Amino acid sequence: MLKYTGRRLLELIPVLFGVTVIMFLLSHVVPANPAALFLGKQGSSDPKILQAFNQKWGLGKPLPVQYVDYIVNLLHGNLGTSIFTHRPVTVDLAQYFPATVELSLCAMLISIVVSIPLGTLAAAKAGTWVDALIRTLTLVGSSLPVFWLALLTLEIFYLDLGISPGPGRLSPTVTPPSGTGGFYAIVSLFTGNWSLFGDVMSHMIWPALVLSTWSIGVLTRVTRTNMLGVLGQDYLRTARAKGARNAYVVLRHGLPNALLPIMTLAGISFADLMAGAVTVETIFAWPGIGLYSYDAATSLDFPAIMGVALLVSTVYLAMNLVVDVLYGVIDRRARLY
Amino acid sequence: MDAGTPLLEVQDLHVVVGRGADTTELVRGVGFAVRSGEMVGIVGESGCGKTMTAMSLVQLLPTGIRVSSGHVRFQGEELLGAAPSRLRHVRGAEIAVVFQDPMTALNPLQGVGRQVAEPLALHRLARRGERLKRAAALLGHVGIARSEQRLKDRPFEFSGGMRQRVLIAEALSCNPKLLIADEPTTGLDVTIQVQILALLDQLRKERGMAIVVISHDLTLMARICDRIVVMYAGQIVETGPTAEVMSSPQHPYTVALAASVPSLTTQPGQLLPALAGAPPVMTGLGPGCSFAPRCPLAEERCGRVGPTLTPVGPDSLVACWVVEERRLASGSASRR
Amino acid sequence: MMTVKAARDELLRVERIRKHFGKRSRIRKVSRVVHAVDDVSFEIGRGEALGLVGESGSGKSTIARCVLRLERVDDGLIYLDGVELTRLGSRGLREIRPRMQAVFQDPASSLNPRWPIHQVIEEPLRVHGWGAAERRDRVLEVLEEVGLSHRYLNVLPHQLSGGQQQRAGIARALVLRPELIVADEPVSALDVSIQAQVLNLLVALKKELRLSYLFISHDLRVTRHLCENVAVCYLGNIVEVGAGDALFTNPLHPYTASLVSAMPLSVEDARQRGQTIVLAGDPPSPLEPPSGCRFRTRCFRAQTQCAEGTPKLEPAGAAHRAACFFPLDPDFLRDRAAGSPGSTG
Repeated sequence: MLKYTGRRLLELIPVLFGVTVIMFLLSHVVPANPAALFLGKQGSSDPKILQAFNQKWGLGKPLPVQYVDYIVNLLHGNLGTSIFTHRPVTVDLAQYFPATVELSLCAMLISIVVSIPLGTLAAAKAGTWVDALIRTLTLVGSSLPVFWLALLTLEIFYLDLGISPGPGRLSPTVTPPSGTGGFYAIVSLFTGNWSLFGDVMSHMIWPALVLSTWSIGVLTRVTRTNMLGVLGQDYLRTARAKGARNAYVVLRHGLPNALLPIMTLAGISFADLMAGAVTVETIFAWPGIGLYSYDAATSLDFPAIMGVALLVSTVYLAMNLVVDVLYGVIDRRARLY
Repeated sequence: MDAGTPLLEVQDLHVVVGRGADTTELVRGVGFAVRSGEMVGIVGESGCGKTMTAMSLVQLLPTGIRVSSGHVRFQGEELLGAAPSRLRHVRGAEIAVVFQDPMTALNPLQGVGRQVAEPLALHRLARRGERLKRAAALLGHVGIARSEQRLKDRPFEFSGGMRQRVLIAEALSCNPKLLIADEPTTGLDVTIQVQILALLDQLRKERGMAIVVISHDLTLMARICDRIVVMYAGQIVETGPTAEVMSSPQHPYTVALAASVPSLTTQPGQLLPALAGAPPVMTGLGPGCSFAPRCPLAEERCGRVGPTLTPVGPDSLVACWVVEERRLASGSASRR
Repeated sequence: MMTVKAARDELLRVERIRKHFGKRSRIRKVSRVVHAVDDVSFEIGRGEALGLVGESGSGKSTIARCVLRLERVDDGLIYLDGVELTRLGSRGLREIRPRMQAVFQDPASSLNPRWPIHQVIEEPLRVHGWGAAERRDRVLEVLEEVGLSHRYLNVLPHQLSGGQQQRAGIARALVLRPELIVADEPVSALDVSIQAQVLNLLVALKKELRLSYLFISHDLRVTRHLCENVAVCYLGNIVEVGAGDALFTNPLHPYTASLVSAMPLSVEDARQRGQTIVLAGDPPSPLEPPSGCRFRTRCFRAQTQCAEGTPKLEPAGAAHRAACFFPLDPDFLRDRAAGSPGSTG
């Protein structure tokens, strides 16, 4: 098992490296000038200001040199300074990322808790009205535009019904706690700070629900398909022949086998969520990576772009690693590779 | 249990597929008995209904297929229509099944020890620590070397023959009185087949267990079975002690089945006495004998009325008009 | 009946072929190799059939694929009517392919399920550039040879029974008028009564068209019926070769003897309970074949010498030879049947 995990870790390194190269090239290939955006029309037409700007941000050097500089800095934990915010990118990321992490975790948990039982039920009752209903619901769930759903949620539950406390992570009256590193929900849960936890959750639940609709739709369907495939397998019949009840057979023999492909999909969905759902974060004023990356992209803030790209890639790779390792734990056959 | 009562009695079993007007009979009135410690082989080609017959004994028929009428009595108790909880108890604890394909009949994610111990857990016959010990002992007994160390191994780490042994160990864990083995050797290498059959025979003798083996291979059955039941198109066409059925088969189908396999007596390169045509499709069967279209002895009556099983010896039955007539004509009361 | 080598009109000659498959290795230290075929030689005369029998892992299917040039051998030579096959380029291969054709085990999967039968059968003709009219004539001709009615020309494979599908497969193999047919378990997937029909067809075709067969099977009875000569494979080696009858009544190699006893040749023999040779253990893996004689780990006659040297097929030049340091007495099986002390357990 250790060898297997080690192999997976080793494979990460070249991929990360490749990501930096590609992102670097791509972001510099874009035919737009950050100087123009930052300095404005007047400032960028003045060659002296332009030169000073380029000098400060090292934009005048040849690309490979810029790249090497970047990598060297990276290895020292320095992701550069955001052209826009004038803060180190690492500080920016540390500020915005935890919010996204908590939101995605919440959305993912909701998805898993809802879709796996739903999918299993649909498979067990395949062909009946239960199955048809579930399938229709999932189709609707994955087709609804997320931004519309977000707006609708705010409209109904905040403006009309007053159940939701509104956008943002915390109520205006609550001071953001210090020392949590931005992980309000997780830390308050573990320290037993229930009033804070309650406030955070009442804010987070709404965007999380909205975000989860899409992944519920997809995960339920995948669960159903895989369960159906597994339900026809011979080893279920063997279990019945030993005297097991149907529910036992489906849950103890069927579900674990069906879970493997579901896990892969869940991992990818989670990484997707963590990449930041721009629209949801915008509508709910959720200060996360989605918001940050949008700003970085539109202002051609290279260091920030690179920082976000690197972060998101790392997240994807980490999720893949987790899924791979889980695979190895659950299914020994995977360890052969 | 009284020596005279058979362990298992099947009477007039009918298994159908489909509903309403669309029903097709797959098993058409099958009946036989199995005594304690006996090994009975049910032989026939694909589509003859042998697997459906076996599966209906423990009510493990695939969806859409069901028993429409008949009796299955195990130790005097009627199993058809029994409460599901009673059936669940019987399965695994009293009647165990070994299925056909060892490659797919085991859960790929679970260790073999756990799977072999599962019947004990389901029927609450042993505590956890004890269960695994028994599983290791069983696996060792069926011929898996170093079984204590291999309890956590997954099925993919075993070869086909060994997986079949694991399945047999699973079936035996609660010491059932009857074992049903559906094509236990098909797909396995010849030398492994011999090992598995020898194992079954040995286990039967050790535990006084009755075994029903289903196969398409007549000569393989002849090696270990006490009695043979030959099926064709959902019905039994001949049954009797192995020695008699093999040495002097009566029903034309049994004769053809035995003759169509090349043997030492057939001249290499000569044409085999092959049956023309193919086994019938179950949906289009008429009232007469279902074998008649391919039968070299078929008469006019065979196409009109289906024959019934009639005794041709103390323990043998044959369903054939021509055979019946010949016996009446010759006036003899036993074979040969 | 012994065949005299000198008078044979040799069609296929295989000389010392070797085929190993490298096993997938990533960041592993040792690359594991499957020793599928090692040092295999045999000949098939025109109009003759050679049966290759063995169990899974014996290498018989790999040998067949090497002969058909579906795999490239690592070592050794293969001659079809004097033409050396292993070094042949694609043009030469294309020319020689019509002379050797294949029939496979599972008729359902070897016929394209979306093509009607006539298309399946005429495909080889298309590939080799036959005109439409010629193709049609030839397809009808070959259908008749295999006993399939013309009304099956336009049906799809799944609409045919297993036996009919296999006949279609044989028709496809015959359509280019080959001299050699390589048949890999062609009747194993068929019901017994159908198997007899297809066997009869193969026997008849062999006589009428003077075909040679390389017939691969695990079923000794069927092989003996069709093939004059039989070669027994175990873990990539040929352990015994000889005329069918001689091989099965008086096997020289212990493995052949156990195969024969596992599969009784006559219904009368089937009642001989307790006489079967039960081999110990499972077949070893082709990844790590035992040193010396590969059969020694399961052999009931193995001695220390068997681990040291590799036996060759002897006596060289004889029609019936076995690769064993301690070959069996000619009456071994008969003595066992009678229950005499010459038997083992």
